[in-house]
Amino acid sequence: MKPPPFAYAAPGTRAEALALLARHGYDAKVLAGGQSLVPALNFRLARPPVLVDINGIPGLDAIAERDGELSFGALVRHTDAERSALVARRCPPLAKAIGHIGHRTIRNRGTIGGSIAHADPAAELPLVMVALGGRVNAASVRGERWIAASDFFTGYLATALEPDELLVEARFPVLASGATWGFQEYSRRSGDFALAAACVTLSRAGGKVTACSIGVAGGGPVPVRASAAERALIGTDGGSGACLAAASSAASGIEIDGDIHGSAAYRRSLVETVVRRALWTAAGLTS
Amino acid sequence: MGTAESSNRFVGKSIPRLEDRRFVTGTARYIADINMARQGHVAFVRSTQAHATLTKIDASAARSAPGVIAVVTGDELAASGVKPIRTPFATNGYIESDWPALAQGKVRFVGEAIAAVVAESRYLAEDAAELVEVEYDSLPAAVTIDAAMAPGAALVHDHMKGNLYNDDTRSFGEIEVDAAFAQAAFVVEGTFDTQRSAALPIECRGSVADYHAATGRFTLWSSTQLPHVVRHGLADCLGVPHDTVRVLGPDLGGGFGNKANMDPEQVVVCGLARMLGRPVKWLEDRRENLLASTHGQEERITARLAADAEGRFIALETDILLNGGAYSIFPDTPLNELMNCTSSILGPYRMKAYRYRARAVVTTTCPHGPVRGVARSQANFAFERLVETLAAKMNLDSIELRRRNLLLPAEMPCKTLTGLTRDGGDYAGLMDLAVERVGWRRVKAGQAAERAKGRYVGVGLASFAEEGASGTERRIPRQLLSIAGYDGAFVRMDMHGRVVVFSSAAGMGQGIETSFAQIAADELGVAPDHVTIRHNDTDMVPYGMGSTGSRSAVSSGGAVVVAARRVQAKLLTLAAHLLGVDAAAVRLRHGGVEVAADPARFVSIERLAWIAYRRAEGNPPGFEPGLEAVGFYDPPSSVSSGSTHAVVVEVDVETGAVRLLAYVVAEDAGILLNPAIVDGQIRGGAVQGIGKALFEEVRYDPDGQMLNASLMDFLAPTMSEVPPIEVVHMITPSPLTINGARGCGESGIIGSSAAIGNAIIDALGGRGEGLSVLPFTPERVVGLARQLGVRA
Repeated sequence: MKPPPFAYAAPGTRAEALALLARHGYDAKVLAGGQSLVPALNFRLARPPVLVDINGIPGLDAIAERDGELSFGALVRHTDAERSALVARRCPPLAKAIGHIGHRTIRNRGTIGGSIAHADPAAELPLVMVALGGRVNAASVRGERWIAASDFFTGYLATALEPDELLVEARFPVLASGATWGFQEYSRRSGDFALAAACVTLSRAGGKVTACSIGVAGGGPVPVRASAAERALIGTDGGSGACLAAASSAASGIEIDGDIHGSAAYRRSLVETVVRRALWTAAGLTS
Repeated sequence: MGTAESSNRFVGKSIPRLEDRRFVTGTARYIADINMARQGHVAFVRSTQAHATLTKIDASAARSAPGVIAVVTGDELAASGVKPIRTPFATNGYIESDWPALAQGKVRFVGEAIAAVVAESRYLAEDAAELVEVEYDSLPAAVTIDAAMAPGAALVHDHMKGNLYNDDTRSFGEIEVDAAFAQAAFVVEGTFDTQRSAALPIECRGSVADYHAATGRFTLWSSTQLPHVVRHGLADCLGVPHDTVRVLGPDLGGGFGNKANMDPEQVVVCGLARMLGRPVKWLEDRRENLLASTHGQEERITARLAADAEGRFIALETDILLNGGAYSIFPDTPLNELMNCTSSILGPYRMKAYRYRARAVVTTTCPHGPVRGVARSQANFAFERLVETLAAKMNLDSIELRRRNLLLPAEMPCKTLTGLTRDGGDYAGLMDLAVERVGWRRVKAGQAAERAKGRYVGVGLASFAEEGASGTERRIPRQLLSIAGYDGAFVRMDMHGRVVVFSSAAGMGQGIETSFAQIAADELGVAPDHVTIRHNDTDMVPYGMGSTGSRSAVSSGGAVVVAARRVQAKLLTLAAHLLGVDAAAVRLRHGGVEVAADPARFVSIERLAWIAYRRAEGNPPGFEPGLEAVGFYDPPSSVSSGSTHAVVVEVDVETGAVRLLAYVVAEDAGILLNPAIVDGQIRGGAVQGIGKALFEEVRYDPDGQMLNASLMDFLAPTMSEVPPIEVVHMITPSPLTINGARGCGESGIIGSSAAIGNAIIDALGGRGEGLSVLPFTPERVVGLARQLGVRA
């Protein structure tokens, strides 16, 4: 469990980092918190010839609110986001989700940008980003571009980032005024990747659901929005029965694979459970 | 002569652990800290196939890679004089497997070592290992018990027909088993599958080997629980006299059975040191530890229990199959697991007749080795599940059913049908204690109300007796000669009255540097912190078995008593002479020796020690100088700690998650040398037991590829999954051991699976049957809930 040989670069500026990525392309891998990359190196599952360590680049660790979104520099550590009063106040489902990421030592070191760019299908941040409709800013020597969450996660551990691009910022919309939310995750042990997780928001007016989002992770290659379930829920009273129906629809409508921790059928039942519990939480119902 | 009053004794007190300063300050030294000048670092090329003929090994590219010192294959190692690992076992019908330390001709499990790369660093060694080209001619894998026993299954070893290490059937009892079943009022039966587990010490294995050509002496620093046993096995494999091999080790970061073997890697590093003329070091990484050290406890127990109309057990019949893996581990072989299973399954109960059939199956998987509990947890799971099934069938409270069958204090000491000694304690009292402390009746009374609120809460228990510290009488008939049943100690008091004890035990975190110091302190009238315990060095300590099978407190601790009393006798003789009285008139007390009838007449330990060495004043005629003695202690055949585990669980019937709300262990381990240390042992064992019940399982695919050889996928419990574990003791000194202690190093793990399983079934409103496969994964729990018609 020693990594294969690699060249190591520690650029001191964003421009230097982007130049390195432009030069090495697919041969380069970005090292941020290292919580996924370093184990992959030690197992020799990842063999990048060049590691570009971005930890020395200034200005990538800010949390701020901008135009109705929370902005996170790529190097914001999970723990800092978890303990941010701004995040807790403006985007509580995100704060709640971050508490489920690994263990404290992992959250102390792991980064917001790294977790999103790594795109583990069972990870919390990609789920929340898809559920809330966030976006990321990808920078390269060619310039910057914003990529919506719905376009960003393209497959298992795969994203829309080009090999010369660096994820420099992630944005999550603040929770809409009056909206309620729920986040539910089930994992075998505390800190494990989710077997199933759901992040939902609900807006209601006049006793009817006027808007909702239902994000689901676990079992499929990417976190997804359960759009059919969302459509079915809008216009209902958002009560217990409506939530049950939406959860059932969400579970039947998504792609799920079994693995050593659970069969596809079991995982599908978990999806239904976490979606329903998240919806009930958002609707102010108790199970 | 005599010793100090019990209130002044250190044994029985929870003094802080003397070894902990170095552990909590990060200054302990482990095998990774041992370094030799000119050492080469070893990386193994391991098989990627479960079963294959090796058609070609091309190491030419690896040999010319940067920093590579050598690449050695199995044939080359054998040519240097290294013989395969052999494990003779004195049981009828057992067939040995020869295990070449590096594969020759064939591989039999994924992870089997094929070649060793020695380089200037581990990084370079791993880089070069990737360059060794191995060509395989695949053979069919046989991963499971069923696959290996299927008609036409490929033979893993050509000489082992039917892929069996053994096929052993025995009957016990005054009455005939079939007749007993014929006359039974109730018969219950079940088949129980227990998962393949891993011992998972935090420190993986590792060795540093040095060979001195001029003297022909080997030195092996190794992370081992059994230094003398390893020396024995190594000398045989290396073809050298035993006295030319020294095995020693620094601190161990846990063992749990994973280091109670002589491993192929230990043989390889010694062989490499001899071939290369320079020291070599191998540190196992976590992947190797999970993939290729040892696994254990994958058993299928089919059992039938007969009872009379009042529920008194009459007869038990078992058919036990063990997945023994690809090779027979030294020294235990797979049969040790089977013998523990067949013998311990009778538990703390009466039984009139018993018959078993026991087979260890050869498969193309990692070899079977001991894991804490060694089949006793599996046997307990099967039996205690059957007890619940019987209680349900009789519509009888299972606590009452156990009470009708538990051995009474007045019946002990006695032997079970299989020859285990039950040496006392109040087994029913322990059960009652556990039931009371866990809040059994309160939980049962509130169960219906909780269920109405959608909460599924249940209680479960398991009773057992852990036999441990088995002596020569029990060890020798079943084991190869490298395993003694006894342990040794050498005690030296220096001229200042400070004491060093050299023990054949192995310290692996279990606190022997404290508990043995307490023993020596009591026998020698000194303070425990004036006693140093040395261990893990075959050149330094007396011969003895080492630390395995819950034996150190009794066996190695007993040897400390024997040796220390020899030194004590000299102190008393010398004191009597100095005080001008008969030896019978003096007694030891803390700090010195006094005249029993006149305690004011006293001589200090320091003065006695000085005189014994320096002869500063007249010694008695013929007094042999010095204060040193060696002693051995051979424990009784076996002694048994009684115990009951009781737990409260809450089940999420939708996800299948099981939360432990309360966990109680009631225990009678006899005299507790240091109660805090015993509590720690039991809690640690229970944590491992919770892992076995709910989380841990080594998984293979049908081709023999391990699916979870990392700590991301092999799920050991963490702090978050473990409830507070309450340990309560009854103390009935063993009448059979020298210090009144019993072994309890594995008691924490034995009852967990049965107690948790019984509690889950209770929570779901079931009675008796269900949950016969370990671990109780959420998916299996959900399956049981659906089977019982429970839905949120």
